[in-house]
Amino acid sequence: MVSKIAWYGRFMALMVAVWVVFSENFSLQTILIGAVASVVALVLTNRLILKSDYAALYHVRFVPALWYAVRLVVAIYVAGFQALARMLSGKINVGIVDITTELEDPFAVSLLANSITLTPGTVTLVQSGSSLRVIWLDCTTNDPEIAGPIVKGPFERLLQAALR
Amino acid sequence: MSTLIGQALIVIGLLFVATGVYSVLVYKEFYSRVVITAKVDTVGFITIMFGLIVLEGFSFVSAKLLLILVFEMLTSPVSTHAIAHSAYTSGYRIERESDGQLTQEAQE
Repeated sequence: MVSKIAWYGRFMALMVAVWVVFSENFSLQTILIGAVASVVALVLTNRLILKSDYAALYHVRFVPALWYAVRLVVAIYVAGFQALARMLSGKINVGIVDITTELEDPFAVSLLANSITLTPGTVTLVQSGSSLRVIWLDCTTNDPEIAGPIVKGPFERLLQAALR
Repeated sequence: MSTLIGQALIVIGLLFVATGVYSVLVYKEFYSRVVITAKVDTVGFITIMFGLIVLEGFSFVSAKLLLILVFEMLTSPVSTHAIAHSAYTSGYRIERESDGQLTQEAQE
């Protein structure tokens, strides 16, 4: 229960921060309006839109999620420079490969598919349960066992930590 | 100093975008183009936004730019996936020669 209240507190703080940035005005009045608006938004979403509780569906741990975002940007740049060299030298070998993930939560699988698409060099084609069909710029193998760790990189492990 | 770094980042971002556009024109295969366009979307756009944030310094505008960056990073892969997925379900496939090089699409 305490962790749930703490989760809502952190989420409200994030929403208020976004509200303050959009308002371009850091004052008590803006913060109060933002807090009220965030409570109303959370209650309405919980009651009318979501099938389950917000905190149960999106059980994101904030610090690992932030670390995940940092690692994602680093991975995007590393893959970006590799893809750049490949594209300019003409050594591209596009292939479609199936990989499976240990993640079970649909939200986590969607985030993994999103991250794979963000890194230049791979685009998620089809997602079905825990299996993903991916276009790969440098397709060296069609074996899911070998291709899986290369395509997924560190994201699967980081997502497991962020969404536990 | 921050002006120089910001402008350098924007130029690097534009170079990424230019390479992407060049590659889209050079490569004829559909899936290669999709993957390359995804690169333009991500690396080029993120670098340009970082450049603008550095130019602007610590302010509400740079915070808004950061929010735009986050929204872009959430939505851009979805649009790329939608295009690739619709092509895949429409029957576009990759064909290969014996030496592993790409030749043509299954359906022209």
